Amino acid sequence: MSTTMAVTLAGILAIAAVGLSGRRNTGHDLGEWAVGGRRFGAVTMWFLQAGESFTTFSFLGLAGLAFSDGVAATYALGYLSLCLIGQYLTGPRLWRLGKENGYITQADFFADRFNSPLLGKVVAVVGAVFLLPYLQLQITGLGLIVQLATGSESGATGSMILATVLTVGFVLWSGLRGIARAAYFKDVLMVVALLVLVIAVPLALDGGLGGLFTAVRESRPDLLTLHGGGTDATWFTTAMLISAIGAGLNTMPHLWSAILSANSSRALRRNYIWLPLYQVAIAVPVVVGFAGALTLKPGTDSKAALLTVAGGALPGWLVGVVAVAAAATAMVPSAALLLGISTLVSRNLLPARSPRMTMRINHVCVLLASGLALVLGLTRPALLANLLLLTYGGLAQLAPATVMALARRNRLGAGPALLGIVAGVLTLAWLTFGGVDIGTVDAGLLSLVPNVVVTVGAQVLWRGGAGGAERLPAGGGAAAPTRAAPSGTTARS
Amino acid sequence: MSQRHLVYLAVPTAGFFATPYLPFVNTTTLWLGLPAVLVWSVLWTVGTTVALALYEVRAPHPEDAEEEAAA
Repeated sequence: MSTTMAVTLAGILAIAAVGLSGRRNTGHDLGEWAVGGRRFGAVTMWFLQAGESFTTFSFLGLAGLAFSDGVAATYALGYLSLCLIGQYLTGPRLWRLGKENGYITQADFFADRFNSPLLGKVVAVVGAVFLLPYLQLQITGLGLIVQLATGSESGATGSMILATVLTVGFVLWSGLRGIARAAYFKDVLMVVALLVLVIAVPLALDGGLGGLFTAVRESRPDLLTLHGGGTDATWFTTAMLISAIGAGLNTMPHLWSAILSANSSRALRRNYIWLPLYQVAIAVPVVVGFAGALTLKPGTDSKAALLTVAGGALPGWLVGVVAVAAAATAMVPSAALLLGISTLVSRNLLPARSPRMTMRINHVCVLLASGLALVLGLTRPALLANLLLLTYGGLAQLAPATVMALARRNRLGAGPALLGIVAGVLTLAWLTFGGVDIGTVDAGLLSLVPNVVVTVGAQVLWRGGAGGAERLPAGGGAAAPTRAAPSGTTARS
Repeated sequence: MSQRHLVYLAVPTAGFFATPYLPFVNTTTLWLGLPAVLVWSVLWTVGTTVALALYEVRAPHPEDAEEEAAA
């Protein structure tokens, strides 16, 4: 076993050990397991949300985007900052509603604010289905990280299995507290790895950092501007906008656990104020991507840029440290995704009578979701690729209904909200797979147009035809929120 | 949400969206030896924290008192 592989495996084990140490024995309380009893302060929140936001895409994907398209990769700095502005404005309101009404999931919010358990179930299904390929992406990303760092394909497969098993272990054992504890460790590792990269990579180049970009300006000036091609100004603007809308309004279900775990809305706000500074770290993978554009052979897999450059500039054990940090960017978000999927299922889709049974269903769901994502990642990695294309834009279709439901008085009916979501997702699927030429405009953003039109049109017809009766049938299932919602569409506070 | 104070948050938002349309930013010229677009984006990322901090300090947060009273 090489030094790099040994360091990588030791690091993966250490991440899991830290996650396991976060357990607080509280019996069968899903609220304690999934949202930490709503007792997290600003510091814990900061590490938790920072840990969830820095994924394999931030590490490998953005370096790859800089490698192939240069400064287009900086759109991530924009959308992450803008989404934090959105979360600063909406997060405290979500938190208060969650505390008052006992939310544990995003679907609880929809079921309560629209007084429609059926809408809650639909949102839960959409969320769980769209998160599964995102989970698989993290697991396959981890395998790629180990393969690139060590050069061992069998080691990559073994690492995917080991990391998945360990992640499942600490999620089941410790819940959100374990994820928060692992996030502390991850963020320290990230800072170390990024410092190593930002110092070592320029040192390995002639002229250091300044020399790197002077050389880029002479040989690849196209990388320094946003111009024509697939990543032009339209792409930059629309991709940034839809990502900011989706994340800023917390349309991705796994983001909700962290919000609901806060001990006060002030803690949340303080967290959002300081999180943009963490996002500055994204500039490091971007710089390394530029180094790859200068030093790597044309045709190199863009996702391999960061670790290939690191491998050329660092000794084996330090490559291992970088690989562990990169592996952490897969394990911590994977854990959050598993928690998000399992709580949607156990809380909203298969509610049980007893807390013990709820936790059992939850834990079985963690095992099934992780097993499915791992098996597909190992055997059919492309199977969910199409679904993944819809994940971000598809979940963003929940944005209009989310905005309306945040208001003090929700004037939107569950039926119009549901029709709008369906119209948006169907339009997105058509634009994505129907061969429609939309240039470089983001398909998810375009899909919001029919979404809003259908929502407004249906709301007008709904109110006119039903005299203001705006309830969807309960669908035969139990309501998700802990506390029952009031009758009618007018929601509390 | 204080609409009067939202102008603080509008500043970094405008900064990010203006990135590809400002000739002095979307250029091959290097700032401090780094791509202008990268430096501009990092500046506005830091600026987001400044804007949020200003909003936090200047805008009223009546819900804080309600939470403290309820606690």
